[in-house]
Amino acid sequence: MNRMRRAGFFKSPIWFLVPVIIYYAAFWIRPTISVIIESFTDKSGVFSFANYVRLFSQKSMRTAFLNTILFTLGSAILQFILAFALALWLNKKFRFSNLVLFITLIPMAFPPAAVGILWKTGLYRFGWINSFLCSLGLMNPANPVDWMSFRNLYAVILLIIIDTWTVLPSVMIILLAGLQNFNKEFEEAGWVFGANKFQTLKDIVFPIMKPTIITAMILRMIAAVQVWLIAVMIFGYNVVPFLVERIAYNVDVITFAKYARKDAYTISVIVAAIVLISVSIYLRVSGEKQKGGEIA
Amino acid sequence: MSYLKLNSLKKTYPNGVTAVKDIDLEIEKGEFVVILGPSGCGKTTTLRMLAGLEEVTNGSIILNGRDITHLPPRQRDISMIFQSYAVWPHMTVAENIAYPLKLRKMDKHTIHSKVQEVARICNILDYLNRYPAQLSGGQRQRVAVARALAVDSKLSLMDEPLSNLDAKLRTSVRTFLKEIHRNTGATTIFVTHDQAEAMALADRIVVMNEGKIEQVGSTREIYNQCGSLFTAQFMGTPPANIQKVSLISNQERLIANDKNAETQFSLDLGNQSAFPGIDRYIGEEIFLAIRPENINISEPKGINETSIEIVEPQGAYTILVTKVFGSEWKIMLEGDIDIRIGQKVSLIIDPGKIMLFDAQSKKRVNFS
Amino acid sequence: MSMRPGKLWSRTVFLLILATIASTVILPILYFLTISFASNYEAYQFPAKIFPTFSYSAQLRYNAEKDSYTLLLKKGSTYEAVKTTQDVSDFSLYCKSQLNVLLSSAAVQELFNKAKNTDHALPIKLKKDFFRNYIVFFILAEGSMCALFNSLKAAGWTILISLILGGVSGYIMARYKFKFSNTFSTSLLVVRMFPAVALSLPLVVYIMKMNLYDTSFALAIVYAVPNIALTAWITSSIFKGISVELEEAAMVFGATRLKTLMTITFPLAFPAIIASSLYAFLAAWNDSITALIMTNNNPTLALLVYRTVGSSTIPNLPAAGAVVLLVPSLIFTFIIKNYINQLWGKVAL
Repeated sequence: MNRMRRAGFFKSPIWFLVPVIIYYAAFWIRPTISVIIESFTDKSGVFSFANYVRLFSQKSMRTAFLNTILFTLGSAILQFILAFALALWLNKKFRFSNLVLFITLIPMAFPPAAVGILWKTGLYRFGWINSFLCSLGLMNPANPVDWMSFRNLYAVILLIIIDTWTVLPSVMIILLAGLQNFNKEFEEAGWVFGANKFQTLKDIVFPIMKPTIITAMILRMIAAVQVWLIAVMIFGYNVVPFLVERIAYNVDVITFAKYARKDAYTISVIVAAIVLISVSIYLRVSGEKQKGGEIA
Repeated sequence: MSYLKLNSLKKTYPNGVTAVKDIDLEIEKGEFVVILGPSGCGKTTTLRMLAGLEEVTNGSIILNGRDITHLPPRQRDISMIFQSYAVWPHMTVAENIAYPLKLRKMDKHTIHSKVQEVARICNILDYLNRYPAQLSGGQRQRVAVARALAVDSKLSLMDEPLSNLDAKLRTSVRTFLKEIHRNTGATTIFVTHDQAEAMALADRIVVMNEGKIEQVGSTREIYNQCGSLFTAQFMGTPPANIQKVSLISNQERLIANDKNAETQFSLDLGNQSAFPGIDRYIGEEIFLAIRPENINISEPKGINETSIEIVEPQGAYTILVTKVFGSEWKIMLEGDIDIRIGQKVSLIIDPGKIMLFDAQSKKRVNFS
Repeated sequence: MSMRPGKLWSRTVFLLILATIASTVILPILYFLTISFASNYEAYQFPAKIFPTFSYSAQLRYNAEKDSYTLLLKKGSTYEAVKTTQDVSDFSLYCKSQLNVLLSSAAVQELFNKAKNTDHALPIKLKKDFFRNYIVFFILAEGSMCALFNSLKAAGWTILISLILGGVSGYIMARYKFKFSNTFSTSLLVVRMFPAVALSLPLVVYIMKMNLYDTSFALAIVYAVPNIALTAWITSSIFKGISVELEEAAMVFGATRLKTLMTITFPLAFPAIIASSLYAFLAAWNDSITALIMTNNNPTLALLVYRTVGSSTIPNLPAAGAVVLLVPSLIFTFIIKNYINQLWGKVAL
């Protein structure tokens, strides 16, 4: 009896996970722990909150914190609404739905660096956005708007729009996959039993789609918190600060400054904490009841 | 004026396929009507048009004097049981039943008592707080019935509700549905491809094929007086024995020959006087259909002689397979028949049970 | 049969949405492509053109009093003087660097002679070297080709690491329920939450110790961290979609577990596994910040493009680089598209 159990233990599939666990121990847990330790120690290696205190006394850091939260919330909400609407629409299978799907997916393929250039060429005073507005007669060619001079909230909104342009398809595609696996009779039962389209959506489609929605939104939020490249490519460093932009600034621009490394580590911990907290809040809010099983 | 009226209803899909061609049907209040047909015959499309889930291309639907052709489903005052039951997985059984009532703005107390009432009828009182995932297929089915029952609808639609159940459960749910209909008297349209289901449940059966109605009638009419060759082929297990034959008259006896078969077999159908008005078909080709249970056997007597090739005892009855006109015919006899393979027999056919169909129109040839 | 008014209305709204989507996606890309083909001169024009041009309508005028030549380019209905010079090579250089027009000294000399012999401005057509920006970015600029290869190598290693480690975990997660299976799959998600930049910083130290600094393999090690998790997640969804009965059937007929895996499960999952490896490719191909930290003399293409944007004032060259960066991403994204259902259909937390 005892022997059999032991044999079962050695045959356990867990052993196949050992390489992954070792990999993560070496290349994730170890650096993560050292980052956390670094963020909580001063130059001489003594435990202190000095790094956090120093960072949050900087105005740019506070702005970065605020901007990151604004950006994450704004882009998550906007992208969810648009992506869901688009997914519902594309799921209807009209005549050109495949072509439309193809077109909407194109921006997803843009690497962040390409997105940065694309919009940079559009946003400067003589860029294509103004050219287009002029050709429509919506703008006076003699007096074009300099979009890149936008600051603060306007800049964040602009970045949310640009971000939405590129990541909307990747959110949409997950929701669309969910909708395609969704038993249409659930929805039809709603209509037949007296619900209008909105009620069906709210009371039936959303709740049943919840696991898919949660998946899409969590992936989205994790990525949104880490925004930096488009902000830097369009506005440059220090103009619209974000948390990860601060990290990049510390390692890319002021590499040899006194606290550059410490600051980068500390901000990383802050970012990870924000991601963890917001994901768990989201999971708590969205998953009040857990239902077992799924009906084919 | 009838309760539900379908006026030359037609459905063409955007891809050009016409699923339903000109359906005219009138249904009385309280009737249990079964639409029966093979898959792809347009029966489900017809039902979905009634539900408002499918747009009507042409024609109209009048329910209780109101034109509902283009109304959205929620304004039609109907209930429906879906093939997959469509019991919402994120709601408990009680919530599933209560949701349509909430939409009808009933007060909490009424909803509660209504849920209790239908749950008692459907025998699901013990599961009211469970989620569908925790229920078996049969229990989910009952929840779907309860949900449909709770809303006092003008019309109850059922889209192959028994097809996902196992055979044993199917018969018991069938009885249960019939019982419920007897108690509520709700006008019901039930779609199925299973003729046993149709015959057991229906006040009237509508047989559909290729988007058209083949025949409408009671179980007895549909079974014994098939209006068309299709119905004869489709109805019955095993189905009717069918052969294209040419009729000849020989000394007042009506004889069927198969022109093309090498078998030289000819079937004596009995006295020609049993087929008044058959004269115009003498020498013509015609479809002959005889149900297996309408054939009997006797010791070989020189006419309609054939030999038994396969014996399939079924307990209550026995199915014999024999060659007639070179093709396999089935004979169904009551009880356990003691017969051996290869034994010679004569076929005895009741002339009154013979069905003949026009070779061109495939419609039934009526005598008298 | 007449159309009901509601139908007409919904049709209009439908077409409007269609047009909006198409233009928000296609217009920026069209302008962007045009810019990647634009010469420096064109890049300064406003309003910018939506389609690329292949040649210039121009005039060459001889100024007798100064013995110089003036090049005029058509702008709207008039001509604008852009360059006045006496020197053939100066003129040729201008055409090459500002207009993307390649003219040999002999050809310029011939034009000059013709212009001198006409008393009015000589109308000429200057043909653009269409792919000039691409040639400049990749062939003439140092290091671009190297960067391209670095990107490909890093992507290849990332795919290899993520598939082997992630695929095995995905299979185990799909087929076995063990004590910590939930903990394991959640921790795979947590891995993605820590910014990659944050990992790269301390990892640089280890990587240097391992003598891997400034190599593609080192980049792949970092890229693989979040991607192993993603691959495990996706492949477990794929394997869940393959019925256990198929595997059991093979085992009933005498196949060993390994043989079943190789002959039944793997071939069935293969196309989707390829698709999931494309995610790994894209992650490596698109990254620039990790490369920023982990490389010195061997940047990746994405990093190079990012840097050139910062250093150049005219966006046409980096745009050309970005278009090249875009091509593989575009191809792979559309391969992935065919597998969305298999990849995401059964994904749930």
